[in-house]
Amino acid sequence: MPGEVADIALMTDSLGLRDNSSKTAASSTASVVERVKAGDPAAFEELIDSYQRKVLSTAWRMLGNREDARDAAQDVFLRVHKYLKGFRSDQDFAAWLYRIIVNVCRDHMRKRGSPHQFASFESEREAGTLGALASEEDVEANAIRSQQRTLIEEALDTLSIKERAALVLRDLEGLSTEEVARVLGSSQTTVRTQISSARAKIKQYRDRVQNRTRRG
Amino acid sequence: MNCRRVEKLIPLYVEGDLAPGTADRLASHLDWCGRCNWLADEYKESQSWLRTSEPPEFDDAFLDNLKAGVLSRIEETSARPSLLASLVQQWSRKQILALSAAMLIIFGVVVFYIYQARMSGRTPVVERADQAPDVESPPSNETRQNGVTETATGAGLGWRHHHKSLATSKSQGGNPTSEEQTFEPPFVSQTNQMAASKTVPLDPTSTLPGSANDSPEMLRIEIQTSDPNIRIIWFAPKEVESP
Repeated sequence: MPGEVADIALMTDSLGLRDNSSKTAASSTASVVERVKAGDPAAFEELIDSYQRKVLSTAWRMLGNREDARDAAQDVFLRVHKYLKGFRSDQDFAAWLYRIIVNVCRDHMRKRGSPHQFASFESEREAGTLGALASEEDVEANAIRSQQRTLIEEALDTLSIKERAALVLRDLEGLSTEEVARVLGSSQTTVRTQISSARAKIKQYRDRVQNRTRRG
Repeated sequence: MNCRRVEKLIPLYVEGDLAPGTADRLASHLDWCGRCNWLADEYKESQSWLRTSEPPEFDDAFLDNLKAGVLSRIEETSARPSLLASLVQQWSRKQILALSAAMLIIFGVVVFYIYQARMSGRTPVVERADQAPDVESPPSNETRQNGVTETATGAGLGWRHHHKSLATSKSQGGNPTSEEQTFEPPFVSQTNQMAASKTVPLDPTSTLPGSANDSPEMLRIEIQTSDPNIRIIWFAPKEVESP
């Protein structure tokens, strides 16, 4: 599957763990990028196929909503199409793509302004997010998972835009501090400060939820 | 390393974001400090809890929808030409040339209008400068003394008016008073121009007593410089006309 290969390439590029197979995948990404730059529309579709899951999941972690994530992913690919001509072959495509994702999500968060609506279990089931539910046990498990996801989303929503971006890239996307700093255009010290503050806030929120549950 | 410092560093320690030396010192602190150790465990649990959040599964229909949306928007963008391009497409070359010429003419008219407005805007300033001496000079006193009634309306009329009143007083056999002698012609000092000169009969009670008494008729030429405090006064013997 070309999508999976590209996803692996994206992750290994980000983590700096490039073995031979990932190098091959990266070189195939580079050739696809060159074809897109040459004006091949099929190559751009290939690029979308390769990266859309990764873009969607990162956008979802940043925005916490399927619909917002889809809109953001569309904007990301439009920006990729627009600015790919200026992309140099010696640049890291994954880092470049992450930068676009973060910028687009920031724009969406600023536009949205007010706290977003978290997807409830029912709305996710209606939207087909949870897939076909086989049994009562599955329903219960999915309900618990959905509730957990909502709580985590609420915790992430207590962070500032910059803190959230840093935390998502470092802790959920698995980038190193140096890579996060490169993507966000900040110093490593700034990123460490943001990550430290974000982790403390997440813990604080979790403690509050746990205390509430114990009392309730 | 004290507990307060450790508390600040624990959020970074739990994910290995500290420099090796600092991490080692913190680890040795955690070995003996139960409270800090408990806090580090809390942070580790919190991080594990955060990672339990998996993104939802995006099915093929959702992904196809996304891809179709992107491609259609790219098509729209490429199909939508720029304003200039659409103008070129819709209008013929002659029409574009006519539009350009019309815009050029309108621009020229606007520039001409602005130029005219500026030029006409300057005139009142000059008039005001010329009228100022009329206000300063007391023509009403003169007319009262000499019995001449004139109205100064234009630029420099005050000066001419004064000359006329002097001539009138002369013809009537009256002597010009000292007030009349010290009266200044209406210099346009506000516009920093060199002033005009004036010839008046010298009064015996003038500021130059010796020379003034020696010759009864002297030319007095006053030149007002651009500096209002500096005035050049020049006395010269009046040429005697041969009969």
